[in-house]
Amino acid sequence: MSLQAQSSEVVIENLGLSFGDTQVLKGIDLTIKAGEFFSFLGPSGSGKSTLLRAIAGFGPEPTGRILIGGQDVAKLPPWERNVGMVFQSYALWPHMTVAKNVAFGLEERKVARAQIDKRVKQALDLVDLADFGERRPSQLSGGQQQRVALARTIIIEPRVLLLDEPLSNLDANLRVQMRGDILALQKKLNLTTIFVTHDQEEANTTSVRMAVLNHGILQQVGAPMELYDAPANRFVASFLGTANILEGEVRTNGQLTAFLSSGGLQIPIRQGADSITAIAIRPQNISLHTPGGGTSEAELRFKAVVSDIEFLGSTLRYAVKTGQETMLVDHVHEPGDRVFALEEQVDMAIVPDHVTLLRG
Amino acid sequence: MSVLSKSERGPAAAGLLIAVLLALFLLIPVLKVIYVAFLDPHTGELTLLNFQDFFASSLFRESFYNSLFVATMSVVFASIIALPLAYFTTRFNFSGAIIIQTLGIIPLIMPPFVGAVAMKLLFGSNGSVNLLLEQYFGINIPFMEGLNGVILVESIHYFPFILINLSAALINIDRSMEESAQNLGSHGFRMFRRIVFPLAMPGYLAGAALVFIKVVDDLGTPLLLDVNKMLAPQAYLRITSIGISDPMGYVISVILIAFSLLSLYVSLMAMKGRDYATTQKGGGGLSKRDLKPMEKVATYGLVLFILVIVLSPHVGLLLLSFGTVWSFAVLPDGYTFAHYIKVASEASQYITNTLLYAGIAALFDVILGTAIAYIVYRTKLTGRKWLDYGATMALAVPGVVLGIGYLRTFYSVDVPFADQPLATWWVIIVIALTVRRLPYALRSCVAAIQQVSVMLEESAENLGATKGRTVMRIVVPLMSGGILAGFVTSFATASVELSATIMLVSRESDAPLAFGIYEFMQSASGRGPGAALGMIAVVLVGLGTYFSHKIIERTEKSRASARPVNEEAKA
Repeated sequence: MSLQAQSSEVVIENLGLSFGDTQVLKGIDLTIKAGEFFSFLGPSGSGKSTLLRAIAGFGPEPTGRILIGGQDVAKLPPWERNVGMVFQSYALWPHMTVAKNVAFGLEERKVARAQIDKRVKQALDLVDLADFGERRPSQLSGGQQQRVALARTIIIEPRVLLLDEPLSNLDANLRVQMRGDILALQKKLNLTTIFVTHDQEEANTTSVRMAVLNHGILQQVGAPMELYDAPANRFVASFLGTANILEGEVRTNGQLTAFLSSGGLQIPIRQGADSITAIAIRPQNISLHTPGGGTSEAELRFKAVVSDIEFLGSTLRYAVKTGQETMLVDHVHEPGDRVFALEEQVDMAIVPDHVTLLRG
Repeated sequence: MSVLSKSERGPAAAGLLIAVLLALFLLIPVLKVIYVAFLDPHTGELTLLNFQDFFASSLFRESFYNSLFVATMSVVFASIIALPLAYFTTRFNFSGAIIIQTLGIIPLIMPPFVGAVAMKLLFGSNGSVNLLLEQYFGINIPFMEGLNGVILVESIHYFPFILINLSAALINIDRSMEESAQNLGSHGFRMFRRIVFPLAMPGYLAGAALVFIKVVDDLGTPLLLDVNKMLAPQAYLRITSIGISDPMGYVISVILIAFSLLSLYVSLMAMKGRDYATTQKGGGGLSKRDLKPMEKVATYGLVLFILVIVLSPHVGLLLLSFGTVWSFAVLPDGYTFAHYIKVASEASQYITNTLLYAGIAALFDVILGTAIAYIVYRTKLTGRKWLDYGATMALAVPGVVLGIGYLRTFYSVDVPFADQPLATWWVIIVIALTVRRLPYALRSCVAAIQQVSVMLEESAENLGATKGRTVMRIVVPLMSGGILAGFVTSFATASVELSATIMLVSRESDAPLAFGIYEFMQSASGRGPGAALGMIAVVLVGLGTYFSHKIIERTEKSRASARPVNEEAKA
């Protein structure tokens, strides 16, 4: 495959960026390994797209450094960076055919005509659009347009591939398929790829590692499962999936160290975690039982009352009140299972090992 | 056609009436003109002889080529003026943008012929500019000689059509279009040529086609500049000097219509399937950057230079209207109010006539416009679209052609009680203005009705209002902003219309403002009063344009504040 790109490492050092007086990125430090599939995940307004655009050279000039394959590109204009970007809207030029669109980058690089034609054909082959070269972008479906945008970008053999919410304009089924296609292409070309999304499922299923951003600040970096299981702060805990977050403080009483929530729940924790200000428990890590069982070291039990029930299909989500706290509890739904009723007295069971301690 | 339901009878009757009026005062006169062009004047048989005669005559051939040449060159010069202005306003953070926006409208508030004489005094071989050039550089540039003069006046008058269309097209290009080109290694002028300009091309072509046809149709400017060897002046001169039976005027009319249709077709083709308005939500238009200090100086310099040229007809007209004697001098010898006093005492009928004619025409335009808009967008009547097409067709009919058509069609129709043919009665001028300005009012009304949610009407009907009551109490009040804007636009443009009225004015006492200006401007002694009348027209139209702008702005604002409610209703 001649479209094999030289994959490069991306290092971001102390990156800051402002729109006028508004600082939208603050002190970002990040290393994306060569050939890695990496995601920027965050809610809208978190700065994830701004960060991606800064790597491509769009938007206000940032402070700090952006090293691609060791070269600082932070001050270079977009056209000298050789990073490929696929835009959220695809940005295919409507006045050119598909083939013309794909050929554009090579034409700008003054590649010989015969060579351009050959590589355009290869690129379109690669995205399964070999027969669509003479069509106009407007004659293609959303998914096809997406693939043209990919072909147009990878043909220049970029050092990094940047994808700005590339799946957000596709319908649900196509999104899953396209996700797979992009991943397969990335593996084939071994391209360092940065993927911006607000959809955690997309990030989880594609990325080797990901970075969670909020308010322009990097919250946590790691493999998807790491981030889910050990969120570093309240934001990451609640943004990735659902979590019961209990505010409170650590109390030590003789031998016993425990977290006392402001709602009155007391959960023993290991010693030396004095700076903890909150804990997180996932709904699926809590279970409800008919009253009567006792508390043990491995499983804590609290008296609770069912205050709400939602049927979500694969799960039943209860809201239960215990003390002043309201907790969400997920039970996997199986036909014939006992379903607790509203206002029913239950025992709520928590495994201390499943409790995440939060500092930030 | 199925039997009409009760609620459709009213609109159907109104639609039928409008169709009859359009047929009578637009379709039949135009078809008559075309028909006569193919008629042997002696035998009354259908023939192509008239066209052979036309192209056999060296005068007509020259007129044909001159018209083509002038129109083409006007498009070229208008583009040279409009391109940099559109480019600067859309590409740079540039505080001059507001000047350019205003600049874009100013020329349009005065018909080109009004400034033509003033331009001669400024740029003619003995005009201010050449006197200065001779004094300091010993050169004389023939800005206003022959066709040059027409090209200069027309291009500085009509360039806003290109500016407005091109700017709108540029603004509608999504930033990502440009960014993806930069991402793939393109930038600067090369990117502008390969990506930005092609995307704006439909807007540019639409503007250019409009300029072309306006120039071909313009009658007053060449006449006042003594350029008679062009198509529109030839048609006018044949009809007025030889008479309405001379076939050449009709042949020229057919050629003018053909040009009109051709440019309409070009602009339609340019837009078709190429709606390149690509802005995404949150994407915004092209990214703008700040100018460097040196660029700023150069840009302001260029904009100022263009501004001076574009405003020169207005400045010249102002000087002329206050000047005593202005001949072989850079500026008038002295200044006086005499011309305005003379106009007020001797020529006030021009002004009152204009207010009357344009007022009635604009009133009928908004009534017809509202009715057509309602029928097209709120009923399912068969053939309703044709009302829209029919009324809009007036855009493609040059004023000269409509004038000739009215003369030919209505000369033999006597008006009861007035004891004269319809073609010479003052009402025919009002009808001509109504027909010519109907498309403007119609577009305003259509835009207005499309803003009114059907649900607002349905809720009125649900509460017991009949169709008619709903229209009166809900639809028309909600459309009022658009209707008012349509009225003002029709009124302002009708008050300076010349090319159709010039054929239809049969006596001085019936003549409107534009005709008065034209009459005065023809003699050297009448230039001062003519200019004074011109200034009055400029103020009239200027105020009208200003107010229609304000009205539209205000309506948009009040709509914007009401929008969340609409969206809830939609969901």
